[in-house]
Amino acid sequence: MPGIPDEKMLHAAADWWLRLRNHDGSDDIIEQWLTWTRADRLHMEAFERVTELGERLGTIDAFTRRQWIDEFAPPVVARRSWLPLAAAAAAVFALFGGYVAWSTFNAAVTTASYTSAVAQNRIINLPDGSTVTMGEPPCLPQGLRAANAVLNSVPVRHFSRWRITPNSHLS
Amino acid sequence: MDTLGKTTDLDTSTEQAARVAALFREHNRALIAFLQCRLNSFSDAQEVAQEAYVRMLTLERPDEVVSQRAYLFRIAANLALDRLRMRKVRNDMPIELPADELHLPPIPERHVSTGEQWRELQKALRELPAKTSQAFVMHVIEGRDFHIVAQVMKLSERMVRYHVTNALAHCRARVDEMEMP
Repeated sequence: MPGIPDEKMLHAAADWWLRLRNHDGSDDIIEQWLTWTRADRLHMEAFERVTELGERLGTIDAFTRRQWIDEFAPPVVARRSWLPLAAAAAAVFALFGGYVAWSTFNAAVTTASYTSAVAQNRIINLPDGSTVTMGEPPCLPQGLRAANAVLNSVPVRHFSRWRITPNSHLS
Repeated sequence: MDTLGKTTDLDTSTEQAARVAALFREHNRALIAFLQCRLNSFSDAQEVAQEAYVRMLTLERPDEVVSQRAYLFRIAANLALDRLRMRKVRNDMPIELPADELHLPPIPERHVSTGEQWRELQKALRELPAKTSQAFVMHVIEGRDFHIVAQVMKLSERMVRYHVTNALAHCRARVDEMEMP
């Protein structure tokens, strides 16, 4: 099209537009630009067209702006490696599990050692109300609950005899 | 002696006025284009140019200026910089408009034509390679500096500039086709 700058000329004009916009105030750039504009009548025409488009783009409405950004330059979400996250989660899980196990074990099992002399009878009262009689014949009542497994922690010599009387509400 | 001094001053100012008039004739178009590029506003460019000419006319020692044209562009560039700073301050502290002004109905014809124009430009951007349109949108639409765009896109600043230039030229060519069939 005669009298209309072609794309190559528009390209040169766009390059000057960017250079002048980011111009640091040096006279040299302006002088070089003026020399370019005077080299061809269409150079200034091309520059003015690019400048006019630049101004037009500066008035873009918020909706269109958002649309263009979403389509052409969507924000880059930094991709995180899953390994550090998984390691952190495993550490937290292990700590939590350890805490739960430790507190459960501490609350459920209390160990104590009792010793009686040979042929001696001894009655031990447990905190839950049960009693262990050492030296008696063994008699494990029906319905004995886990709490009463304290029996296991009482060292009983193989020649001793013992009897457990659970607390009534546990049986 | 005093009269002679006044006459000399008058001669100098007349000479300077003639020089400024010549500058206006030869370089006003370029000056306006330069300022419009810097300020992104034709009306602001005209105002700043006018102020630059006034400064040239009121120079105390115009004969000491080596290049009147270079001096005119330097004054204009500094005035443009001041205006950009003022604009930034104004944008950082926006004036609250009265509620009535916020609910003005849009002008339908204008809305339609600008909407159509944006759609055409969007189409033009789709014709370009993804990196070219991305660099263009990030720099021209989002207003991000070249070095930031380069960091995000993992390209050199030179390549970013190249992409933006391509996109601008392509969009302008499409607009020309649209407006001058």
